[in-house]
Amino acid sequence: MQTWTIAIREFKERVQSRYFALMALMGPVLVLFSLYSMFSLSGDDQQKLKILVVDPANIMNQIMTGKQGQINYTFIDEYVEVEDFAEKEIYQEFDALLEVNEKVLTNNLAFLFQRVIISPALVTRIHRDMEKRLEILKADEFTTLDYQTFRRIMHAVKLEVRDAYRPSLKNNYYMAAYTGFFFGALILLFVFTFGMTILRSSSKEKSNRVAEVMLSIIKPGQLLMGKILGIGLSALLQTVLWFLGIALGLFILRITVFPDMFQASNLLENDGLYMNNSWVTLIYEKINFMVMLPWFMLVFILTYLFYGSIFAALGAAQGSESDGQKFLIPIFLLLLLALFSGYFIIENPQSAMSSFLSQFPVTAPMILMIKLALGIEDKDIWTFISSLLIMAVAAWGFLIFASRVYRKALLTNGYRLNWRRFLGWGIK
Amino acid sequence: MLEIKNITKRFGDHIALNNLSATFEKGKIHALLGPNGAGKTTLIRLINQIYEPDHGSIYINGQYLDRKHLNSIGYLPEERGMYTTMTVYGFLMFLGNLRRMEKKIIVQQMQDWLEKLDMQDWKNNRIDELSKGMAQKIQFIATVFHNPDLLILDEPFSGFDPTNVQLMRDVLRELKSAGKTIILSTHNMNNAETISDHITLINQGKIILDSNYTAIKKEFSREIYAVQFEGNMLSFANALWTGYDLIDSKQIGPNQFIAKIKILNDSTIGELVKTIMTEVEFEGVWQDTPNMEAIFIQLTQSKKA
Repeated sequence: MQTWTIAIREFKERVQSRYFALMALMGPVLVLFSLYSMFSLSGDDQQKLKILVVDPANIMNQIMTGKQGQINYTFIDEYVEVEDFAEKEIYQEFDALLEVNEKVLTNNLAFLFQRVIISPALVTRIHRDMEKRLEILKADEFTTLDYQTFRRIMHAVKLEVRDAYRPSLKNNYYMAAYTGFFFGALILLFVFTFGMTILRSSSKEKSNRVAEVMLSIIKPGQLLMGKILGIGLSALLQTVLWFLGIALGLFILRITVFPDMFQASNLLENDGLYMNNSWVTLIYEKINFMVMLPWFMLVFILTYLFYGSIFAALGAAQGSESDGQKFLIPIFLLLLLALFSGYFIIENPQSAMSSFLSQFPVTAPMILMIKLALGIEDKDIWTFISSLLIMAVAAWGFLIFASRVYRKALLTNGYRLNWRRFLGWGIK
Repeated sequence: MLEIKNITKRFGDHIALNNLSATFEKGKIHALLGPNGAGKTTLIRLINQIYEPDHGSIYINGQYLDRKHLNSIGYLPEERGMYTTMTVYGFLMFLGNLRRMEKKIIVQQMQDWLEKLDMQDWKNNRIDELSKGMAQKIQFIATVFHNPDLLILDEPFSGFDPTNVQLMRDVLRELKSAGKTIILSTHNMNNAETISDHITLINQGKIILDSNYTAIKKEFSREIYAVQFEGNMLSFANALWTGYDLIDSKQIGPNQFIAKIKILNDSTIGELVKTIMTEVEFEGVWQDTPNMEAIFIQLTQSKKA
């Protein structure tokens, strides 16, 4: 009851602040802006290029048209030194020089000297333009087939990786893994942000002596729990507002900005567009939000309790502001470790280290979210449950630790905090 | 009302309270005095159960003090702590809820106390909009509005102007009349003298004085008299016999002095007056009773020495 009263006060104070409203508004806007950028700018950008094709053997000029969408090719049949291209006035109008010499038909090598940075998608487009033209030449030179027949023979094999237990589902490992990574990173971001709120709140109550009034009415553990609970509820509300804002934004983007792009998902000719549409498909169709969100909430709560206790203990224990900054660095490094562990496990899903990281409370939130996004297999269910249990036990342990620190440190002043003192308060 | 038995509290190697015992009677105002670091705050925090004693026990109304008694105690810490972004109403409602008071009682008590301390117009203001004195009054209301039997007030008059100091003294007397036990921790000896019935002086974790004010005055009223006269100071000093000791003198006008005389052996003040009247023009004599400040300094300094 008293813990709940504290929690309600903390919750109201956070929710009524301008910062909370600003974060609830700006957070989804920033995420949506990032997604928009990812969808629309990363591959299918609006860069216009003028390319000088140095083609002394007239290999390309015979068959390549000058204008290819965003790319305008100008052909010359004489050599141009790269230094001249870089320096001479007459070449300044060109963004890049494509050097195709007569050996290209045998060594398959050409050079692109860029004056400006050309996006990977456009480099791929130039590459494909060249390949296609060379294929025509080679088909004509080495076969009796017409080009369309030649293309059918040359068509690359598409190898799809699928789950043996769910073969009907298309598998896109990296997409799914990075989706989990995104959810894990979101948890860490919120935990850090609201953990800092706990730290500041505890420290402020210590310095302005509210703590003494509170501790003459309630137990230190109640004050701690109330604070963690109240700020946690405000964090949950903030998360829900983010999800609602992002969902609404994605819906609006879907029906306004991206309907054509979404329909163009069959365009396999272009890697950039294919990637973009995969992201669109992933976000609008592949992520099972009904499964991900409840787990997200559970992992979020456990992570928040675990890290929140550490932040609260530090807030109560710090003798000065510089103490807090000094002790924040290790916590920040732990969060970075959690973030890095996500990247590690994506690249090494079956390593022995990945099993350890999933059971280590510091890194478990990130690993659990990635595993959830990839899909938990039956054989891994117990590992998954044990990760959750270890996180819960660790969170409980740190709550007890923080409660002891609260009791001993909150009314103690005039010292410099060191590890011995901090751990001594929490353990003894 | 409140009985402290053989309390010891250590912080590492430092002994904050050393086998301390004291009794605080019901319906009285007790001044808890002591130099900085004497152990007053530790004792107060033990009574509030913020700390636990290493040894000894505390009883309230004959019962072993535990957390269920916290609602019988109102505590005003020396360094005021309030959630300054809350309104006066919100803050008091919050504390009332923490003390599990019924809402209508919270509202009623809040209303009564705000009126009594002339703060009713500020109910909906944020605490950070109040002056220091006003905030002080709100903190005082937060200490008393749950109607506790025991009040522990640490420097309750600090931050008040003389009018409000008088108002607070009147309120404390009212509370005393209503049967509340009040422990008043202060460094202001004038307030301690003016309002307290009982003085408890702590130094270095031990009680060095524990008595009512009248008895203390009597105990410390040394056989010292102040004599006011007009004349020559040297003649006055020469007139004193071996039965008197001139402790101090102060010139208060042209040839006008006040001398402090300690009477030794079986000599009397009457004999002293007769003796000096032949040498100087006698103007008056009175017993030089030490005030609390002097007693405080005497006791704490002698302990240091």
